[in-house]
Amino acid sequence: MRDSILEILREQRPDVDFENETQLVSGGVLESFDIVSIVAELDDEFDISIGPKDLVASNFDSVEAITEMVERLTEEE
Amino acid sequence: MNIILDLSYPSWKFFALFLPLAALLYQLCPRTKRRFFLLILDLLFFWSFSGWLIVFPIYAAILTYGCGIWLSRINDRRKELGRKQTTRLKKRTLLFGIILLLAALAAMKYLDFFGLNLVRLAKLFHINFQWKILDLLVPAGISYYSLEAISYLTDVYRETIPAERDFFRLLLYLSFFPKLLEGPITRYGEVSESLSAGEPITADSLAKGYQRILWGCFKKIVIADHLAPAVDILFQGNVMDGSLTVAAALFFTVQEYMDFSGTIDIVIGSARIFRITLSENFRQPFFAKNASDFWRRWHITLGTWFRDYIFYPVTLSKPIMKLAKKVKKSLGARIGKLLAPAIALFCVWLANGLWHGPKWTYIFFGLYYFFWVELENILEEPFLGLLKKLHLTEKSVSVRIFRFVKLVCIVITGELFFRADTLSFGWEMFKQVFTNFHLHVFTDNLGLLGMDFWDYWTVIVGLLVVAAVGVMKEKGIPIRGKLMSLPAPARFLFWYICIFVVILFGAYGSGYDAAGMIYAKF
Repeated sequence: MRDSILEILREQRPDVDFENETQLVSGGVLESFDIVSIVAELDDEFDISIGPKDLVASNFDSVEAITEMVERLTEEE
Repeated sequence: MNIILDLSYPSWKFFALFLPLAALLYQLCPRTKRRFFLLILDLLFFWSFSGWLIVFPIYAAILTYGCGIWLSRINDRRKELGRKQTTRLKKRTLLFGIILLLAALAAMKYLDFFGLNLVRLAKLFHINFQWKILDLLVPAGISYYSLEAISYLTDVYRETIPAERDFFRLLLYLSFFPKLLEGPITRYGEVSESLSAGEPITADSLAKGYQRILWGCFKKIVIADHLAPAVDILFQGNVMDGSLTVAAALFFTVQEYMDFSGTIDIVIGSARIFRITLSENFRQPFFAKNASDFWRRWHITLGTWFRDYIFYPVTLSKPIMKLAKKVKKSLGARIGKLLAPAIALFCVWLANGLWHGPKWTYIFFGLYYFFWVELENILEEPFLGLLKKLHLTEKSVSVRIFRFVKLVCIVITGELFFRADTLSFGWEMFKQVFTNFHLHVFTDNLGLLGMDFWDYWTVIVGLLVVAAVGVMKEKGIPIRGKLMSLPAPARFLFWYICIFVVILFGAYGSGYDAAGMIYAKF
């Protein structure tokens, strides 16, 4: 799952070092446009539904945080 | 607005009389009673501006409180109701609350605007429809506390915060006096605890609070208020030359920035005295790389409100996601990717324009930024490609200069229409820049704009100081830390000089409306 997420992230923003970055949103690396594009891809890829309430910095600050959120939503679905 | 007692933030009555007295009495109160004392202050403060209209924030608080409790009761019955029914009931409750909050806002602020535009529309179809102007008084801060109430309800709906059981805590959040008139638009989860904690005022909180207030007074009274007479004259209605249009747009942009950000400094400083931290509303906006970055640095709390409560929900709504997928399949990934955010952005910018007030100039202002943000989104990739071909990067000096000039042109043109009384007058002024531009007309009229030689120099030097502070902040230089490291006499001397600068170089007396706060009218 982590690798698929990394691939999606890199496709959206090839210029970002997703492996090491831990403040993707709180550090201003990802903007709201990036986030909604990433969400659309994650929804498609993992058949989940990420809602506005999930769009908080703590869910998107690192690839680990995103993976955790996707895992949680997959279980809920 | 019928002001009973002028307590607007930049007035001496507020920061030299009301605030010290409030701080003293707050400190004398027992800790557990301090939040009630703050609430009384809030209501008095509101009453001083809007009198009996005080029923409106109380109505908003009762409605928000009730809907919040109702949402939490539905949550408690989740197992019994099942997931679908729970979601349906919660959605209805949220919508009920939001509609009634917006109804009060629309009735007090927009009714005449909608009525008069209906008359215009009816005329087009030859229908006889009359509208009697109601000219209702607008409750102070209604645009700000309504957004806060909606954010509270939505957060309870999303279960990111629990519903508040104590009505007075919610009323305190909605009506807290320093942020009532101009924001910043706060979130319940961020400020509620500190608002009700009743923390004692300390020498440190008092000093830091008043230092921030002083900085705000410098921006507002020394810079913005000096420009106010010139801006009023330039926008009076006699468009003489394109050079005067550029001056009008530039002067108003500076006035508005210094007025609004200065007032926000006073607001944040006032709250800090009571050890309450409010969100920052500005972050060196003119260092932005483009229009959307500008709005991430200018009126930040309004931008993040629109992002969290309009942009994200609209983009991620099922119909929009479905539409984006269809478009992606038929017209390609790039257009599909741009479509959903574009629809949401349109809603955001329309709401932004309307939020500022019932005028077509504001709606145009919102859609003007929609155009620029969308255009920059589309052109960002080709632009970066072009830079690569030219062996330039985003950090190259020429690229930064280009971006700064472009941003200033976009911002001042937007402000020109924002300030103009009507769209047609704004357009008349704008046209002159390209059809009738003579620099000497501006220089010939310098003395006729209600500002003398010293006023101009005060503004220029003041702006240089603000720019220098901005550069230091942008570079992450801890200005306060550096000041605090000075020996005590030097520190005191510095603050005394600052106080005297504000007193000596501030714009006071007839012709200056120190009480006028541009963003309080929204």
